Amino acid sequence: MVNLHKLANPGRFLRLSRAVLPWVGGITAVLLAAGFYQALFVAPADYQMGDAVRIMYVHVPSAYMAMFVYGTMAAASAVAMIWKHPLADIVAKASAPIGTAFTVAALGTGMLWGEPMWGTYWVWDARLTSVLILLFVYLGYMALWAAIDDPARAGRAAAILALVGSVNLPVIHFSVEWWNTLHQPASLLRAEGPAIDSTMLTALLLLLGGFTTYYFTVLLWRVHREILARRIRSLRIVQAQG
Amino acid sequence: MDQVRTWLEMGGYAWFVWPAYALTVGVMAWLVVDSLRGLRADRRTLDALQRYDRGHQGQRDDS
Repeated sequence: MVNLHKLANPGRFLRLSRAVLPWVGGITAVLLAAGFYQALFVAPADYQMGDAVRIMYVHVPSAYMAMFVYGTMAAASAVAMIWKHPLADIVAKASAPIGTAFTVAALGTGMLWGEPMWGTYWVWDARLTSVLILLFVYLGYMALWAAIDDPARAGRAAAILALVGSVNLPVIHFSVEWWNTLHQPASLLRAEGPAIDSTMLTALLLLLGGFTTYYFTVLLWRVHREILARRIRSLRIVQAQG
Repeated sequence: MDQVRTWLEMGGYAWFVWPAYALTVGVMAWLVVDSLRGLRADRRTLDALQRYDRGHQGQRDDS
């Protein structure tokens, strides 16, 4: 178990992240390359959906990351509120644009899959609606950070929003079971195990892994930016007073 | 060449499959560019502020 307190020192965190980044970045590149190759060339067309099934390989990882990143944001917010860990706020803030991007990708690719498959780009069923709400919560979270000048107060307000909004995550996940939805039920995260062909599963797992390590890579860069931004802010305040 | 065209056509679903991939890869690429460009800009700003700070350190200490 990593000693979180060791990472509390921004300088130490930056040194550690500089060591880790080439590896995380490298693994990301390999997983994404292998995953896209598998998705576009190796995996077969679907019996019913034909080649449209290949949209699944970008849609499912995007949707999964939209929720995974939010979960990380909410967990970091909880750590910030309970233990006042200085980097927790920063991790949450840095995660938000990444999660937003994945949510947009999930909704967009879903629409592009829905039109040929369902005959409609959009339907207000439980799954689609709750993911759209997730997007609004992400946007609200970023707006809150931007609206409040003092980073400590902004962080606290944003943390509360992130935690309240996390109730949406189980709603999204179980929406296809609790309600009559057009969106299909779970094929991967089911009690009985995945229900999918193995070459397709490989493509999906490679891209799920690649998207996850991609998130960590971009997160490290953006946390670094946040640390620098706070130093800049402190220096500007000092110089304004001097 | 025929094989490439067949592959690009995606069984008739090209207008849905390729925009989906373009959107996903596009947002991911944009995040990388934005993060790295921002990091470079922040480093430059911080360097400039620290140089200014060191230059004016003497004046502040005197006051």
